[in-house]
Amino acid sequence: MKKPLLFLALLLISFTTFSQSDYQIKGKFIDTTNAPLGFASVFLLQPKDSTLVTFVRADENGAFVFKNVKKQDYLLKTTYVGLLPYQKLIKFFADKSTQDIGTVRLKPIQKDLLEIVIRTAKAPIEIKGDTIEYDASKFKVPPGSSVEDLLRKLPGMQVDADGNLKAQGRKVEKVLVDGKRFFGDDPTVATKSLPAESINKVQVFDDKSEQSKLTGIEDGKKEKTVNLQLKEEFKKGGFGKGTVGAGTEERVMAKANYNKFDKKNQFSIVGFGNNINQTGLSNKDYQDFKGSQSYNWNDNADFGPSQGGMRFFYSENDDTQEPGMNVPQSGGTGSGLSKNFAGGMNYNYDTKKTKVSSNYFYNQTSQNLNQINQSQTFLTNTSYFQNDSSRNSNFIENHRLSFRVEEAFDSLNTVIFNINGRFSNRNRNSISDNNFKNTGAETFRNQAIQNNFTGGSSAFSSAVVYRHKFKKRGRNFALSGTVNNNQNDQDALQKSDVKSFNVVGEQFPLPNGLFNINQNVLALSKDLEIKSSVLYTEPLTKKLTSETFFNISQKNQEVDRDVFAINDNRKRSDDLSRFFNNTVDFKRLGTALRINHNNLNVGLGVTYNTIGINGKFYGDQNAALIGQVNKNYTKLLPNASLNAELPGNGYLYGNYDVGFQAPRVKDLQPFIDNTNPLFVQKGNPSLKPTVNHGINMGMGKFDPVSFIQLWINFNYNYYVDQVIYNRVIDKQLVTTLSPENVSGGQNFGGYFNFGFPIIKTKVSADLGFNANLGKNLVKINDVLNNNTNTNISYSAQLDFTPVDWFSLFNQISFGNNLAKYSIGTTQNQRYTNTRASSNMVLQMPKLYFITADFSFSGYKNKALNFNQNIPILNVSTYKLLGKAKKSELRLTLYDAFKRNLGVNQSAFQNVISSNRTQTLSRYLMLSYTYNMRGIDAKVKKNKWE
Amino acid sequence: MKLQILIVLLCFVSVCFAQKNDAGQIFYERKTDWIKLINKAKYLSKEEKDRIANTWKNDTDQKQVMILSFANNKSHYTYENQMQYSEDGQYSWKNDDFIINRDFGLGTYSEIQKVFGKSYILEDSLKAQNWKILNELKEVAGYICMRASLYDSTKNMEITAWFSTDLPVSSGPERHYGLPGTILEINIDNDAVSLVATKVTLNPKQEMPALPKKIKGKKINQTAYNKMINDYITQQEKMHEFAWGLRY
Repeated sequence: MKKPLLFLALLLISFTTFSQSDYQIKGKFIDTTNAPLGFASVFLLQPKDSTLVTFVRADENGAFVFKNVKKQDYLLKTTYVGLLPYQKLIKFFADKSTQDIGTVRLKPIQKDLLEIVIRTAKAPIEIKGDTIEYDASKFKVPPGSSVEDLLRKLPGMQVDADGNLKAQGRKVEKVLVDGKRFFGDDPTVATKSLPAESINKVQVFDDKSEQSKLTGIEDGKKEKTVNLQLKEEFKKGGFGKGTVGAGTEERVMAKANYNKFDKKNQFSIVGFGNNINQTGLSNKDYQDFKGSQSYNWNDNADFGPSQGGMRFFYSENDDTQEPGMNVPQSGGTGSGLSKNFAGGMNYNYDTKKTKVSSNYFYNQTSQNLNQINQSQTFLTNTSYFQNDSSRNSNFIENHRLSFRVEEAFDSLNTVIFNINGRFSNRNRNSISDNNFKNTGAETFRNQAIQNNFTGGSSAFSSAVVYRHKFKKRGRNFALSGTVNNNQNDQDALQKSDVKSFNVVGEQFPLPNGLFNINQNVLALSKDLEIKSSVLYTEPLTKKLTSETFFNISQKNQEVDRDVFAINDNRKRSDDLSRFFNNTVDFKRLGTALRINHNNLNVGLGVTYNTIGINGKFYGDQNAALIGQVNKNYTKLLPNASLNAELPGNGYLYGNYDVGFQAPRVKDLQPFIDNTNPLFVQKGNPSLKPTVNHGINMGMGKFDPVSFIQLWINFNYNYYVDQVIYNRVIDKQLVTTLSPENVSGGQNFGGYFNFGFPIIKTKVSADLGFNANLGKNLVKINDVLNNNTNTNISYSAQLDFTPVDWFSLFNQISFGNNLAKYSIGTTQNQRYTNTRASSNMVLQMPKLYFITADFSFSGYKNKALNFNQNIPILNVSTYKLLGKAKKSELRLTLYDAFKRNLGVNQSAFQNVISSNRTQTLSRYLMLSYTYNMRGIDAKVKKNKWE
Repeated sequence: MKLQILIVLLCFVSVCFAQKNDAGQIFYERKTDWIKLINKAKYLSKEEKDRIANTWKNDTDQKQVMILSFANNKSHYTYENQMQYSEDGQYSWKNDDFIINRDFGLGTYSEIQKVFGKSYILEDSLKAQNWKILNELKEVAGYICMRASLYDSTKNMEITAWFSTDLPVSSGPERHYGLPGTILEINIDNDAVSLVATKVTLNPKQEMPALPKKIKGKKINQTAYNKMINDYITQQEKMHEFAWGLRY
């Protein structure tokens, strides 16, 4: 039983623009076999633009009537399955109150068009009377194909070996290009010579014969004609830009990049050179360089608790400061004075299935760094001051290579392989002069240090990740393998001369000469790390999923360090030379459950960790074993997380993690390292791993309409068995460091931010509060000292964006730091940092712009009598040139007051210090930029633009 | 075609009828490509748009399955599953309420929408839309469809619809309707958003999904709704931010 239904009646009332008219249009539709077209849809359109006016359904006999329609011309149209759409212009004549189009016969759509074009090729065709139009972009042909290849793909078209065309079985007489003849009468000329990519649409129709066109007499002959409609803008995928600049103080800069791309390929080159401290690519230039491979989220081969938590690696945390594997990026200007050169090329190939990327990047930096460091070191009952000045010249060059393939075999299986390599050479020369003063400001000691270092290093890292998704949503499997290899070869000359002076006040006498160093250190280290991970996730119910993972890794490190005494005929110093071989085995098994319900996400997990450390120490490769470390640590670590979306654009998050860090092999070694006789390091074989309990929670709220936002965060860390270094400082100021475990160190941090508009889109404000309280355990001369650091800062922001041609952003913050000690309260101290900045953009007529950046930094420390204010003003004015706005001429005044300086203050353990670094200062630069895509200078509306 | 027919003649209307194509469900796959969406932003330069497109070209699509149920001259449209899952199925979140009910008998519609974090009940009469009907044909989910186009001035979007006169209900996915047949495909701004019917199931006994029992929300009409959307877009544009808070 089918329920009879009402249709269209009332609907039409609401759709019909109806007026009291008695005009009606009627007719009847049949097909070529005279069968009525029952229930055909018939619509009336505005003739000028085909806008729908009203529609009706025909009755079961194919008859239709539009009653009481407005008196005007209409385009009447109907469609019916399998038949060509019909349309007719119905003119309005004032003397006719009824327009009857009579019985109209609809022609069938040619079977191949309907079946092949529409159903099989899924390509739309457009039918305009006799013309059939194909959308060329829907028919795929390989790049470089000719139009002939494209036509071969079109259903209903045939192309023979000679290139002759047939359409719907009839010979094509003419091929037009954009409605015009293309080089003579031979239809194959156009089809063979034009590239398929240049075609937008192919139209096939019956044209009048040339004869009838000439005579104007219809001879009834029709010629099959193909018209090729060209694309409006044939895509040129290439862009680039370049800037050159020269200024006072011999400042110069140049940079350029060029990109060529199409749908699948992207090739780019980039290069720069400058002496204005720009060491890496800007974030924008980095994206232009690496394109679709700028960021790859799926490359992590270390599977673990997906709600964050600890990463799976063991770090010996060497002091080598090796550069990373990635193309360097830099934000602001670096410190000191540097000369930089870089260049690279990148190629990406991207399809849905396969993504390949490879690049090479070279960079070098020569840096001059002059620093002055003031510090105060607290001893049990007294303290001393140090004034150090140093001059450093550093050079580094890196070659980086990378290659990555991602292949999606099908929608369920993906493999990612990547390999990155880096070769570096570096050179460091430093001279420093350190003066030690007692509380009476008398210099009792001077140390002159000279270090020269050259080193070469190479690093390789490669990983393969396989991911499999099962048909069941949420069931996944992943397997990975990683190999990392590093080599580091260094040659260092270390020289230190210590002189003692007799003073009236407190003295720390040191026998002259005995503590001098003059040695040559040759060190070669190699390490190899092999890792593998496996992950399996399983949906337990609709709301509950589980994940299980296992990680295993082995890292082997071999270091050969030979020290030669230069003053003693370069004799090898057996006390200081070492050969050691460490192996660290790490295994982790973890499982977690996650609940997803509406907008609440809760995860609970646990991991079981084991770390085995095996170290062997020798005086030399073939010498006898002098020490051994053999440690095994195991630990069960829980983790939990929560994420929730709150009603009204808010969200809430929180997590609890327990971290676990094994002691460094260096700290476990069972002997004394006195490479530097003033700074002796002892090992402690009984060290336990550090366990860290961390809580991080917060909430955010942002209303997209009112622009009011609120962000709150709290974090807390508590350390059990933290490794700290007991500093034993003797009467000669020789410091001996020995690691120990201590529990009780903790840190609490939090911030609060509230942003709101004062006048919407024109003036907005933001208030912030940031607090950090730390309890650090410090051991000086075997006495445990509680150092509490309180760090509180307030900030305010006021942004003006009143008009399109002007904006001003202001920011101010006050930071107050208080360091307190449980023992030796004389070293309690307070230091402050004040910062203010203002940024303005002004657009003047004729595309002339002015920007100004002002910043002020103030540093104060009463204890050190340190007071430094740094006002910096950068002003830049530029103008866009040319009709297409492709050029820009810019004049920049950098650091107008010539006050730039790098400053750093800290209070750490028993030392408080302030540091000043001489840095690039005032210069005036004129620069010219050419951008192929045009420059769209604008007044920014937010700081990040 | 075997039909059971009832013809009702009303004063201003010619013919009305019933047939088996007037009740059932249509499943649509909805895809949004955020790179194509952001390409409309007036405040971005050509260079910035190219950079976004090149950097993120492997990471653009978002998919959703939507269902249009129709029977008794009414239609109901919402998510197949309001919970949305990440690709690996490990995370899920709840999509904002989005229900559209149309009653072609009464010429009215009511929508339940969560916009900018707030719930609204939008009720108004179905108004004629300025569709232009063009001469293009193609097949969608087994039905031959005709092309129609419309410019949405509120969101500044060019909408292309493919409708089939074989399905007589004048409804469609999302906020699109008013053609002489059901819309089976929608294409906005050159594929920035697309909705394509993947399955049409005809079922004369199709029941309309029940509305949520408790509907909380601010009542609003079409004019006020359009103003709210318009104000938001203008405001975002002024701040050089894209109007991400909207459903396109």
